[in-house]
Amino acid sequence: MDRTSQNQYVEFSIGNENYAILISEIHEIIRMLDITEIPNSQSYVQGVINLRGKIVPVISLRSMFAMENGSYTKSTRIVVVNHSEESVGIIVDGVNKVTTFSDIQAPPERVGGISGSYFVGIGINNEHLVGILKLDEVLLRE
Amino acid sequence: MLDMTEYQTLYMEELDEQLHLMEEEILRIEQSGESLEGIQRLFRAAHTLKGSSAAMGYDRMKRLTHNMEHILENVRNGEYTLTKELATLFFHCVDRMKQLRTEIANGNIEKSDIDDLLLELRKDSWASSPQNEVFSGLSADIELPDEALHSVIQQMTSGKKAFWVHIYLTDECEMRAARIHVMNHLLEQFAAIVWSDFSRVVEEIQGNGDASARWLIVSDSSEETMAEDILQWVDVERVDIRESNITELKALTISSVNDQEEFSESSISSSASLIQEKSRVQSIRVNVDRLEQLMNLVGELVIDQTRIKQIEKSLDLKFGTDELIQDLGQISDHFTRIIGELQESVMKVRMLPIEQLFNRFPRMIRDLSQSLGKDIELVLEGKETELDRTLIEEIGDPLIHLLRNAVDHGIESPEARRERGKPDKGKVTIRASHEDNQVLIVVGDDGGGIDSQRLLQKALSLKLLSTSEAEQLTEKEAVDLVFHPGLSTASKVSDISGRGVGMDIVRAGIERMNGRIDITTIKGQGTQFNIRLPLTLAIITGLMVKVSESTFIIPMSNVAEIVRLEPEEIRYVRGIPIVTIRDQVIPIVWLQDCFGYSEQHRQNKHIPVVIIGRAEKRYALAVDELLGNQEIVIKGLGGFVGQVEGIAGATILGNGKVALILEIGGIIRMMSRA
Repeated sequence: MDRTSQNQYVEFSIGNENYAILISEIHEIIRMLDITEIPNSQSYVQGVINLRGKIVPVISLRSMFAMENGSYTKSTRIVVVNHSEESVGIIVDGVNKVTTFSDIQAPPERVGGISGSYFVGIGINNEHLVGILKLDEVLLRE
Repeated sequence: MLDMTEYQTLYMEELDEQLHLMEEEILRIEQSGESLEGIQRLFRAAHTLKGSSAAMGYDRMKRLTHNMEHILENVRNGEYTLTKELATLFFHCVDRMKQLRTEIANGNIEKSDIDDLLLELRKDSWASSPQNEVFSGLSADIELPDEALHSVIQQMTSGKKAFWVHIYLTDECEMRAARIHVMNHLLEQFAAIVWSDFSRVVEEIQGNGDASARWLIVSDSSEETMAEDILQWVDVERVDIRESNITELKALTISSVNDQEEFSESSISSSASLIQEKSRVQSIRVNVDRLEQLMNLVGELVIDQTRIKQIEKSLDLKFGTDELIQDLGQISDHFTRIIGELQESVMKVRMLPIEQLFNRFPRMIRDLSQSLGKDIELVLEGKETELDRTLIEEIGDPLIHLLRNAVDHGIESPEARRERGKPDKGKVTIRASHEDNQVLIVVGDDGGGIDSQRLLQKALSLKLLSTSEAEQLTEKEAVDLVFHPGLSTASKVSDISGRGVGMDIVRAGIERMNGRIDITTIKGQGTQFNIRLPLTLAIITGLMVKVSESTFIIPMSNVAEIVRLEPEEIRYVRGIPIVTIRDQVIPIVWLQDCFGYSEQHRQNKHIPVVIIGRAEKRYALAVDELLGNQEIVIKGLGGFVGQVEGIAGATILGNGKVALILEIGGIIRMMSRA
């Protein structure tokens, strides 16, 4: 396979784990903003932010993946993705790099306690394994 | 290649417009009788559609309109009468065309079969029997000049009678024009001719077309003797003679005045129609998306403007009387004013007369009253009242529901009405008007009114409330039970309404628009629903309140009153905190409890309280702090977050933070559950 045609991913971390999203699915990556909580909403919806005059909901993968809530740090970022013609922000602990994977394997049934259906696959590069998120599934509204 | 899609859009727009016009016109003719200008408009609509459908290659549409046009032409010529059956058939045609329209819009193919309608349309049974209808047959399209009318009336008072005479020439007749001239002469010998179209007929006769001419004569002979005489003349195939009367003649004279105005289109029949005519000339079509975009941009400006104001204030505090800051202040003030005006202008651009919504109702009421066997008059008032287009879209369904209810439950059967001494014909009114920066829409009927006792019994039997609760209800509260989910007064479930869903949805819908609905009903005399809506959905005045360090916004339209309570004023009834304001006992709710925030700040000396809710059912919302009111731009939370109970949307404040807008209806629901 031609290396340049290989898909590029943005790799980020939540806790000690690494995940990735296809770069073409990402609209922008911003620093942490003030989040306005929405009472009585789904627990994984952290609230809404003002993204240059647009109101954008932000979700926490931590609570979606039933991980402990960590506090926001200097490296916390919001990855804004486009999902069914709407922007949604995903809070991550830090963005690592843009990367490619030499091999992508089908996801196992569970990935460290998280349903495998949330993943397109497990990307392998020379350093470690990265769960590639399937946004359609992650952002699926009940 | 031509860009067909562009034509397609134009065609669809034209189609909508003309179909609408047709429906309106058929209704009008059905209700107030045939008139030449009505038929003319209908004819024109069918003709226009025939042309454009043919150009676009929609064959079925073309054939339908062609056949309608053909019948209408005959109606115009007085050969056919627009009977109720024909009107119904035309309605069917319009319905089928709407169906075709949807099919064209979806797949660019006409799918619905039209052969049944064509068969009906081609039936020759629409020919009129002239004696029955005043405006038909012999006198269908006649415009009688004033002088003619005067002379007839004069002669009739001296004992003579007026007759319509319609003479048909035989097919074999040659030199038809001359023959008709001769007949005019012959008639003159035994009668005074008041009016005739023979000269027009003479001009039009060419070749072997049908030839017939009409006269209005005054004579003292009888119909029979005249007919006998005329049939003796050469080349007469048939003659129709009918006596006329003053009423009919007067009607024809009046209608002729209207006709002339209609055709010249410059004279003024009423100031309202003049305005309409003018606005049509000066308006342009704008894509809705562009308007939406414009409104969004103005919304951003409003937000930025409040931020600039805030920064200016901070700078002023920091640097005091610096000249540059004063300059900034001036500019920002000007900015505020300009944006205010811009906002108003854009809002006005989005306003549409409610007419386009109202126009859907006559047809609906007609169909409904026919299927229910009730005779109902629909009165539409204030068609020109303007409101935001999104509101017009949203209010449609609730209004339709209320109207259906009025026809189905409100108006009694003709027998019951007679017993009550009311006219057989029921009256349903829908009226729109502006009232202090709000839109007021009233849906009323002169039917039986809402039976609050029956509602109560039903609610009791369905265990929607307990006996003790029922006893405490005031009359008004009992009537308000119609809004209770799962309650409908209809004793039998009909197709039209009475499934017990509806009124609660109507109210929820109106409240979602920051509107209010209330009922006045008098047993035996009728019911009236008053709906109050804001002028626009996009920008509202909101009251900013602080609760547990978060700012929330309460739409001003929901706020009944703002008071500060001393802690001693709060009493407890069965553990529920209450306060008495002007003899009304109002339960107090802490907003943070609604949202599950931890308790704090309750030891305030004065507790600011916002009274919300509808007439008898009020709640006092206790908050931590009142932050004043402000124009706010409503933004949705988006599909991902979805509907959140108690939250209507969000806005961006001057400090750049997002604040949530409360949906009071939802808050009340949450409270009544607690």
